[in-house]
Amino acid sequence: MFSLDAASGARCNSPAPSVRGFLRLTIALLLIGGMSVLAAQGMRDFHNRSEGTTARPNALEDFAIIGVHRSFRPFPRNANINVGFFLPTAPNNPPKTVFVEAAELQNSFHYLMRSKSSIAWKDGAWNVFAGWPTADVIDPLGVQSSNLGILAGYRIDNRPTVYLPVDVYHDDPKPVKLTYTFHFVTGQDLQTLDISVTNSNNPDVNLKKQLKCNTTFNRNCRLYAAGSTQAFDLDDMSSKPAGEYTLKLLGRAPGVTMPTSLSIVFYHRP
Amino acid sequence: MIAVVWIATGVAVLAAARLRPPTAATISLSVKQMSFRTDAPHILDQINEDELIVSGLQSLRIHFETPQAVAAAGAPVRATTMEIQGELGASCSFYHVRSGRLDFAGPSIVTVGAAARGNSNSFFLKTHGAVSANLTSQPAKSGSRPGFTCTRTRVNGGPAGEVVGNLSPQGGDSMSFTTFPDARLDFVPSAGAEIGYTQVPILGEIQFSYIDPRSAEEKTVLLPPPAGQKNEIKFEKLDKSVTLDNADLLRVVPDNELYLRRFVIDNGIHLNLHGVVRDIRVGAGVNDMTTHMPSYFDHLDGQKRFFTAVPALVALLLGILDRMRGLPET
Repeated sequence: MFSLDAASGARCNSPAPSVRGFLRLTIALLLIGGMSVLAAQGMRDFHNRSEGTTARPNALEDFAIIGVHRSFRPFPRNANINVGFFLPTAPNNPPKTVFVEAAELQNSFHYLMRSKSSIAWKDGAWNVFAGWPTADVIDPLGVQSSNLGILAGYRIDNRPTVYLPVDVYHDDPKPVKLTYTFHFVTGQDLQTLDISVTNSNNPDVNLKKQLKCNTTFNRNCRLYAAGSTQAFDLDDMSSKPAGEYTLKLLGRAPGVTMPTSLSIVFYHRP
Repeated sequence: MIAVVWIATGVAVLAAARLRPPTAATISLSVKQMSFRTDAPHILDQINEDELIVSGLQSLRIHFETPQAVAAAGAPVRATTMEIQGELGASCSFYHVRSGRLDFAGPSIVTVGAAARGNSNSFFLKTHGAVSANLTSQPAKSGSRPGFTCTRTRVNGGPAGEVVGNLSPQGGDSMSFTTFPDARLDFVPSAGAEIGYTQVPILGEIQFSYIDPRSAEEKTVLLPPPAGQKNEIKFEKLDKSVTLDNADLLRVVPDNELYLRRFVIDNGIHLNLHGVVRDIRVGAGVNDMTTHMPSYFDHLDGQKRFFTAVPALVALLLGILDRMRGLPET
């Protein structure tokens, strides 16, 4: 640990009390200034997570999923956020990497939170990522709960990530809704967005919906602008069996015949 | 004693060379986008839009000139007024409208960017801080008519869903909206519309760069300037200027008052900043940022005419005294 007395003594043989006081004050101010700069920028290490400001690389050209929520209760300042999700047991139980990630839906501060891989999660059970006080980073930055997208999921080897819809709350864990909300960034202007959900084990499951703007208003109308963050709800899946489902997004840009798409896998637990 | 004088002189020279006091500067740039914090109560003037998309819409109130057909979550409604509430992630597109100024609810972080596609004056505006504005529908033109489409919205407290509505073909419908604290507006102004604004106070540092989401690297936002203009920083009082490379990163730290004197959107954003700055750093990369602020020596150099005038004034005074025989005999 840095000792102010030792530091000042090393430079001056026996400084007068006022000089020593001035040196202490100067060094203390420099340290405080340095700490406030560190607090404002970069990632900070906590026992269960890294949290702070950084860029989250994203190689996806056309769509990027940044939040898969089931229930999201807005939280006030100085709250402790909990993230609940069901972690299924994979066949043969291979080792998997489980993560919880949070970022701004609309990027203002490059906020990012990543859970640590050292956390022990329970397979085949509801898990809660806790110990995430907003006072550490979220409140000082000014990130609003309405602008937070949270992803939980797991990866096994090189297989696609399986996303786990999350319940976010700070006091009452009871979910406010059971439908899933997907938050995404579109890299292209979109005139239509086709959303479909399928289950390879159950061909009867085929949820489909299409979102589109009205071309009678403007032939080149845009439903969503490139670079914007958007959201959609899936229809109620509470009657569907538990398992992995594939969500496919198919977007078409105005005046362009080539569509763009993204497929992701999520786990549904009724 | 002589040694002390030499040391003091050396320290003074070193300090004058190293210290860089806050200095008034004018910065002219062409950029793809810029982010700044401001306490301006509003921004932008009236704009005629072919299309305006509001992502993050919280509420929308419409007063139709004549009753209009609106489909709300699949159910048809005919109304003269309508209240629409947005859920998180709600988005509305408006066609053939004229928007008024955007009012901020308080100090906000604003990002203005030129759109990659669309007209030369298409642009987006992202805000961290709620905004509100009024819109007026315009008369229908051949091939297009005024209307709106919303997603994730409720009409008069009904179920959430998609809302599609016509606006009066003769125009004149009045709409006012408010956004959530984080919102984005995408403007496609009518062809030929002049887009710009003046006198925006800037609070805090401005970084003329963005984080590339693919590589997480900081990239420049500078663009080649229009013919006859330069991306440059001018310290007018010191008659010193710095021309920037179009691929440079740039950081500007205001001292107290810095203003976005004006910006114009036309194939990019062409802006002019003026005020007293504490630091200006320029570099080819994040670890190459060096200050371009003038030192005390530059300030003294800027006052060389004054220092040149001192001996002349002294000589003049001595001459006058000599003519008046006021100088003592040596």
